[in-house]
Amino acid sequence: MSAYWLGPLALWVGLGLTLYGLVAGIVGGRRRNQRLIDGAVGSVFGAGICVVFAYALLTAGFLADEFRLSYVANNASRAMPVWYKATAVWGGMEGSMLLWAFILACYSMAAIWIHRRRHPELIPYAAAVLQGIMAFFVGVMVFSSKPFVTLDFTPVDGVGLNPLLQNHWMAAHPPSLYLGYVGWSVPFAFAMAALISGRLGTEWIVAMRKWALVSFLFLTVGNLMGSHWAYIELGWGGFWGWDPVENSAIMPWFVGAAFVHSIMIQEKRGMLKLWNVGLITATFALTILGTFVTRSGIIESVHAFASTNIGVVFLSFLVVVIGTAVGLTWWRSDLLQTENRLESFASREAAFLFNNLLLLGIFFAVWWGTFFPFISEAATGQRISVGPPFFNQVNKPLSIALLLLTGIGPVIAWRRASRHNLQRNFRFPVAALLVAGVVAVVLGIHSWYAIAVIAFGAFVLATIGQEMGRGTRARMRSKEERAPIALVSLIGRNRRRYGGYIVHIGVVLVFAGIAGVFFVTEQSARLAPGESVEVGSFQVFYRGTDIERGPNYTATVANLTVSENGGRAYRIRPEKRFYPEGQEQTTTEVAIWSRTFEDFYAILEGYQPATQSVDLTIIVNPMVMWIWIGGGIMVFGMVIALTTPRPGAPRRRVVQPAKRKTERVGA
Amino acid sequence: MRYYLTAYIIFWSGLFLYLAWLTGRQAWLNRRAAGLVERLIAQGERGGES
Repeated sequence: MSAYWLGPLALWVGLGLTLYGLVAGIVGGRRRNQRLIDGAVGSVFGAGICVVFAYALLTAGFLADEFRLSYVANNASRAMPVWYKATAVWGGMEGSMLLWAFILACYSMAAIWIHRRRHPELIPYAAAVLQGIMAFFVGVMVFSSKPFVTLDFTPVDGVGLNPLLQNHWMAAHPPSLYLGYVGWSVPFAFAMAALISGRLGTEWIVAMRKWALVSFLFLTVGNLMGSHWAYIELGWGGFWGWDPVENSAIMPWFVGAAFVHSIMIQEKRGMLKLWNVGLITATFALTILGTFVTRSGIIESVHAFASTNIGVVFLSFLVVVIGTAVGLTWWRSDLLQTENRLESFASREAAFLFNNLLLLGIFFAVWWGTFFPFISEAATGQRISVGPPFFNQVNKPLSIALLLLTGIGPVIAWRRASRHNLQRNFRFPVAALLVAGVVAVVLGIHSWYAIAVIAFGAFVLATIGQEMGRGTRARMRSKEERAPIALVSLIGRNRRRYGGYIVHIGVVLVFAGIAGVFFVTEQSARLAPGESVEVGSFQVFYRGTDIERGPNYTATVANLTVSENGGRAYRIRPEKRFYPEGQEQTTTEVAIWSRTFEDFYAILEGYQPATQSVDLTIIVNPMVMWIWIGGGIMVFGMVIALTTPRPGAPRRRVVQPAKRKTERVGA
Repeated sequence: MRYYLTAYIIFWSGLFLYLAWLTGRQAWLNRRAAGLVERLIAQGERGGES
């Protein structure tokens, strides 16, 4: 198809428009020149359309097997299913950059369109910052990672996508993660706009609350999907390996979580203004750092990083972003003074501050563990690697303290909690904590972390249950509603607060799922057809092996029958797949019998054709299901919190007495 | 305010020291593991010769 010259053209035009928008927004905003401001706003849509067009063109190239395009030839093949051809667009560096720019274009157009009338003073600067970010990514595609480079000949077939990426979870994971990563650009842009314009009250915070929540939601979904993919595709039995790519995705999540919590303090009490600007800058910088870590080659070695220019380009952008944000913050430091001071340790402000401190502590520990090998290699020439035990050990106490604060923060009083408030709100949860802790010890649980998760988890659930119970009973009395209707109405009337509670229920369940790793049973076995093995309470019977052909692979499939304590038997089929095209790669497809409290996880490690025997690793993973259930509940809670009506928007029905009650104790 | 600043400094100092100790221990464990591997290889080679 000869139309591919349109791709680079669209990117060049887009780059010109972004640079124009960057300058026009700043100059127009400072001089209050409406023509320049309109030009900046228009450039967001012009550049956005160019990028969307380029993305659509590259996708069309993949779907049409246009192997003349070098990028398509290196990341797709004819035999790949259509679904994976469409998702192979972001299988390499060039497409990832285009996906970043595509999502940023959609977010930028939506944000500028939605806020153009509501926040006219912020718009020119926000447009300028968004265009500045877009200029970087489009510039990378114009000068360095070019997605539309054509070959001198047309290959008969392409190399194909890495087989590990040919999995539906991995197909959905990058867009979700990028929706989370890129989404933080919008609050960052408005924060910078607030700094430039000097409007540093709650305006930008209120305007950006939902954008931050959307980004946080997608980042949560992206991390869950990536974790689920690792669990079912990588075949080592775990769901989180603390490798640099995973860590890069989770670091902005922790800082973003701190931001989502701390903006409440600025909204309610006019505190933490400087802190919030710092947090949103850090979150955005970490999204760039995440892309940099994944794409620069620094994971392999600092020398690999030094040999490619893309790493230097990203690092330079990171320095510009942080430098600009720090400079603007310094310039406006007099407007970032707090309006109120902390009055007591026993207050919601203090609980939120400690929550922030712990989230940042976890982030810093992950950052340290991720970058220490690179720092040690750069400083001494010898890489000192830190593995999962380091991350687990450092995060155990921090995460447990965070879980405890998840219960304290939402119910402790603002400003200064009285003894009466503490007794009223914490008597029942503390009793639940003690009972759950004692039950855990009596049941013979030895891991202190598992005991703490059970006890503190019960504490958090008790605080939430108590709050929801009180609200529901109040509605049942005042409105004469039945309990389920009263509960739904209660949540509907203060979605932000109760959505947050639902997220916290999900957090407790995720913690419970993670604590399950202390009770894992693992066993390896070599079985000939007709032989069986016992793993814990499970009996595994090996019936034989099939050779099957997929669309672009050949699979060796072990037929296993599993039953628990002689009960009903289930067939499961772990596989080894061989992809002949491209790099001739072999992948392991695990078989999982997922149950509510235990996953039976079988890995086919090897197959001896002569004897037809198989080498198996069998893992019994308790509680893993609760990570996915808890994650789903977290996402559900965020969606509820997102549906909160905009402040000032007309409400359908306002009942004053109930509103006063929720405001008094609400988050 | 002084109390909060103190709590803040104690938290970060404690965390930093904990991280430094853990990474130092990890480096020591890495060296020990590398030494063990070397010894096992040398032992294997001697066994192979005999």
